[in-house]
Amino acid sequence: LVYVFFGQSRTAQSAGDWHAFRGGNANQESLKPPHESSAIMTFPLVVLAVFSIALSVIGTPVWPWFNSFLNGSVTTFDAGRLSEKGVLPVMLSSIVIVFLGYLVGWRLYGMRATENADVTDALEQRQPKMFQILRNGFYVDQLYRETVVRLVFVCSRLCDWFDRWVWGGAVWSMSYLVVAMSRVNRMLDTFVVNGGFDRTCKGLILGGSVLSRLQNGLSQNYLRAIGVAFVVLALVLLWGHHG
Amino acid sequence: MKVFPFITVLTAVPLVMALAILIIGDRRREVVRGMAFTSSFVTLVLALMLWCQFDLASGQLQFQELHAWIPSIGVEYHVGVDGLGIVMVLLSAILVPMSIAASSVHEREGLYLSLILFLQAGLFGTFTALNFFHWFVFWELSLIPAFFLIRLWGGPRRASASTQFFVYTMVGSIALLLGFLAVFVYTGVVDFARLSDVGKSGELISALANRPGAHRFSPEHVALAIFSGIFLGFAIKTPLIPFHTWLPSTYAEAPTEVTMLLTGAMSKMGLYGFLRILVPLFSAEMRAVSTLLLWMALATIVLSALSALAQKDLKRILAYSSINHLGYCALGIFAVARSSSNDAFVTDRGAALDGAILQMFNHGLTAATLFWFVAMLQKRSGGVHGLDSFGGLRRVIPVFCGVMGIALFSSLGLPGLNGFIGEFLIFRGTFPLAAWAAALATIGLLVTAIFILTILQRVFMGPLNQRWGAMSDLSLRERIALSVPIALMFTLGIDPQLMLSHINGTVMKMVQQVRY
Repeated sequence: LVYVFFGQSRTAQSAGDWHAFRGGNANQESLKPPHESSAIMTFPLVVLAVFSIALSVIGTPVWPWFNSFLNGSVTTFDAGRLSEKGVLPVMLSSIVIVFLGYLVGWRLYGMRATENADVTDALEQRQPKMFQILRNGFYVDQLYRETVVRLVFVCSRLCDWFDRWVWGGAVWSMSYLVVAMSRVNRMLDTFVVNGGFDRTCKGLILGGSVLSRLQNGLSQNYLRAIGVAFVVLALVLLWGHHG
Repeated sequence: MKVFPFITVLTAVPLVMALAILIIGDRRREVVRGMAFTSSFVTLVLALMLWCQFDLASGQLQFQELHAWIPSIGVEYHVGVDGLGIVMVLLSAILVPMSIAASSVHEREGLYLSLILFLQAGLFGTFTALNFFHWFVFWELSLIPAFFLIRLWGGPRRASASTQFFVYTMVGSIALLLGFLAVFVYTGVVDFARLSDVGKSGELISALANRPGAHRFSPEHVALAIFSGIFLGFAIKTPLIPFHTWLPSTYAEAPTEVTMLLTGAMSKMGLYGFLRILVPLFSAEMRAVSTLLLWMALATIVLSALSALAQKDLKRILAYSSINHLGYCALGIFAVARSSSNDAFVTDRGAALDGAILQMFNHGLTAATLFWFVAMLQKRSGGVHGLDSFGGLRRVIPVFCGVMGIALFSSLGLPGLNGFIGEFLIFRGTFPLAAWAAALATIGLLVTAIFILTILQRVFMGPLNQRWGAMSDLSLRERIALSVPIALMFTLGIDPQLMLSHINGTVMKMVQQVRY
């Protein structure tokens, strides 16, 4: 925090941005070092800081406005809630911790201005290992990248694969099964049901044409048939008698 | 005094205009386009009039129209809206002019526009009908134009996508129809309001207990089977995982302007069915399988978000994002079914349902706007919509980047934009009812943030892809058109009460009416 608002600029650009933001000439002012970060960073930080302080007031037990908003209840300002058990010690210890942080920051960076960005950091000079840990943000980013990010990407590929081949595969398998069943049904229809029907029809047509030759209305044909029938009948009777 | 038949006129306007455009055909392109715009504008005005005249204090159905249709089987022309219906009607009325404005179809434009209007009529009918027969006609009516819009104007794989869409939704419709036939056979009721009473009074179970052959299966089991059929119909339409595989390919292959309507309004039909029919009629059955339902909602939220992250196509990412967001609505609805008593958790159940309905509207608006941006990108790039096909566009189209950024952050659920409050209320309501489900669903929020930011990073940040060095930024006309959904995103983000005031009465009635 001390660095952001009161530290010496480590880049000419950031100072230039600030002056350009305030309507000055970036090139002329670029060597003047009012801030560590550019205006585009510090201005939103100031806004956030103001609202953080404001929210911390309305978030205290004295006036828990936000809690009541979420719960749908109505609350009032009541300074007496500070005397409730455990409230004041927690608030005071938080404030003490914050101010201790300020004090450490001021002792490290505020008491003696850093000449330029190439100078070894004050903490790095005294506690190089701690400085490394702090510089790497307790290695949280690395840990996050190797665990959460990796897991999310592996899971996303797995989900995509699952979606395409398992869920999608099940749907496609089902649709192929339906198509295959419809083809089998068509074959059964064409070759078994329709085929049988066609063969029966052909048989009937053939039988009909044979019969139509016999029943053509000519009396000599009928007499011929009767004669043949008599001969066959006589032969059967004679054969039967001998047997 | 005779009341003006708002809803009939609202549904008839797009139907009549669609027929007129169909007759005129493609001979006079400007005329048919003007007619389609006029129709969508008139319906928007009518929807706004309904919205303004809606009685906020009443959670009852309003603007009802009731006429006998087929008295022998109890079929009536019965329409009306409550807090749920009015929100869906307004959403459909907003999205259709957006889709028409975004459309750049030149081939058989008359047919295209008339199908869009048929689809709109189908949506209005579905969201206002209060009789199953009448409702089912419109439910199916919306399916047919959507199928042809995908089939005739879709991408290279439109044939398989449209067939998949049609077959999937038809399977759902058949399951739905069979379920309703069973309900009708045993209760003789097809009116939604009456069905709600049937559900609450336990009349359905009594009727099932007295059916012929009741000794073979218990009435509870038969009720569960009927519930499953109707649930399947809505689960496919929403869609919930594992009934979702039609959606990514359909959204990716459909013309983007049609996808705006599919994701914006049509995807709400399933959720609407859950709220209008399933929750009041089958609350006991829903409660019996609530753990399974919550797992389905969770799978829908988390797996679709993870799948979105693995996609390389903008439309497919947004399609999976759509499934993910609808999963939150399902989570809110299914969590309501979990509570064990009528008196406990009333506020929580109310919050969950409020959130679900609000999220339906918000997702419709945001998702349609995002697809609109994709349509504009496609128009500028000659049809390209790959995630890695762009890069660094912020430098050449800064306004486009900024405005699409707002829509993306709305989809992400950034406080101050419309996407936040719906999701917040869902979590607010779900947590006391099913804390484990609410906790697990937050994984979806994390992954959603990753893929939304990935879109911003890959498309707009980084080094500029020189191929798009001359891409044009938003024109004045586009800025004016986009200002409507963007303004709505901010308005509903800052003042969600504008929408909640219409929803809340109906939600409280639903909560009171549900039988557990």
